[in-house]
Amino acid sequence: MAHLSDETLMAYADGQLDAGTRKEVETALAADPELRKRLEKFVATGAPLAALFDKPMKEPVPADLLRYVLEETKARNAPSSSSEQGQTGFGDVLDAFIDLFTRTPRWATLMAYSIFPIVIIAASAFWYFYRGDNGMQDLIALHQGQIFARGPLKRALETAPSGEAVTLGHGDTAYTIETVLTFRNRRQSFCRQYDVSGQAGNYAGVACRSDNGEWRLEIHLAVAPPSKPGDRIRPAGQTGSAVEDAVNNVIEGDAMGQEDEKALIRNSWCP
Amino acid sequence: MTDDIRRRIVEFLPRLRRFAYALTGDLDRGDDLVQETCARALSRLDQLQPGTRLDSWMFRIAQTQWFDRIRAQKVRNEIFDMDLTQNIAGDDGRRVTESRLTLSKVSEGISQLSADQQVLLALIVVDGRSYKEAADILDIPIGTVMSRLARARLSLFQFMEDDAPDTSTKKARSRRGPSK
Repeated sequence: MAHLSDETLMAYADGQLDAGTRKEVETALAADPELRKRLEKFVATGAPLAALFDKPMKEPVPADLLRYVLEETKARNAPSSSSEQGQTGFGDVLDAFIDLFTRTPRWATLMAYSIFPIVIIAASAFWYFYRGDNGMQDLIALHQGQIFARGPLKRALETAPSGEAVTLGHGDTAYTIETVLTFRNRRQSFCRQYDVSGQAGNYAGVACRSDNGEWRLEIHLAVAPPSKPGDRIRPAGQTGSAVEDAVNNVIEGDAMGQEDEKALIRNSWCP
Repeated sequence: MTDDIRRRIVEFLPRLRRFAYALTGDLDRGDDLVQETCARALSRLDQLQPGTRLDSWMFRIAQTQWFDRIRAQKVRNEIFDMDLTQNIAGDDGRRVTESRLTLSKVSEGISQLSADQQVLLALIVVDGRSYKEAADILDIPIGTVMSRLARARLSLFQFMEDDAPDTSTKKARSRRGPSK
């Protein structure tokens, strides 16, 4: 190879060369210390540079920016009046969603949600969870400001038909998970409402599946435990919960029928 | 429908913030840029062509916002926080100061580049796009992308080399014994 341009060296440093050219460059580099010095300039101004600005990727989005994007120019339901009736408006569900990304749960608003006292999990403070119980870390993972299902919860979302409670894991890390229903949201993604109970507590939520097979938690709330073991996690007839309102706000069409859902699960969620 | 787009925008807010952080060198100013970008994007949703990647479209808007800002602010140093470099901490604080200095040094270096170069650096090095993706977003030839980016990085490297950190100079001085 005659003279290696800066652009070629840079492309090599950035991993943007095809395999053939890459080999040629490596051969030339091995033989020429001057070339290696030139390469170093691009290596130094590559990945290390990116790392310096990494902070936004590792912290939650500031609440006011989040609120701006989600709510700007929108009229919000008045939370107080709808809470008094025991029903939740979109504004309250939105608060719940926002609280997933911020540290401070707003207790007063949350207590008004439903007949059971509800605690919102702050996604950023994953630690907020760890302070008390360590259980939930088995089920959820935080990545780039989003919560994803993993472990027993992911498996259940991926494979368990709705309406059948599944117990996964053993001993202290056992979880009973019941997927409640499956539906499509407006983006045509598949979403599932679920209940989880385990040593860490009892939760209800909605997760949606992305193309790469990850289930992103759209909403995830703690609910009071069932009154006795063996009770259904979700007593029949409970209405007006924040989770059900969340479903109603994002569902497109009806919940999926049993046969369609079974077929979808068999087919690894390819429609 | 708009709700849905807003939720999708939320998904890549961290990346947008990182991009803006690299451009401005400051988290708060970066977030201002992100908010302006979102405001503009939300007001122009009708212009979004079906099949366009939402994130690429938004990065394109961010870049336009940035260019507008640069043009409006002739004095670039205003963006850079001078207090950071003047922070002379004691020995225990030195490590923290050094790493802050590196970020501020790099931000200063970036601020010396042209707006075109800054955007390429932020898109490719920081946001991790390929040369081709950057070329598509900015609507310029890939050859231009590569030569402009190479020049930007060489300038930046030179800037870092020229300004050796104070601490190493001090060390060298103290090590220099009596001349033979």
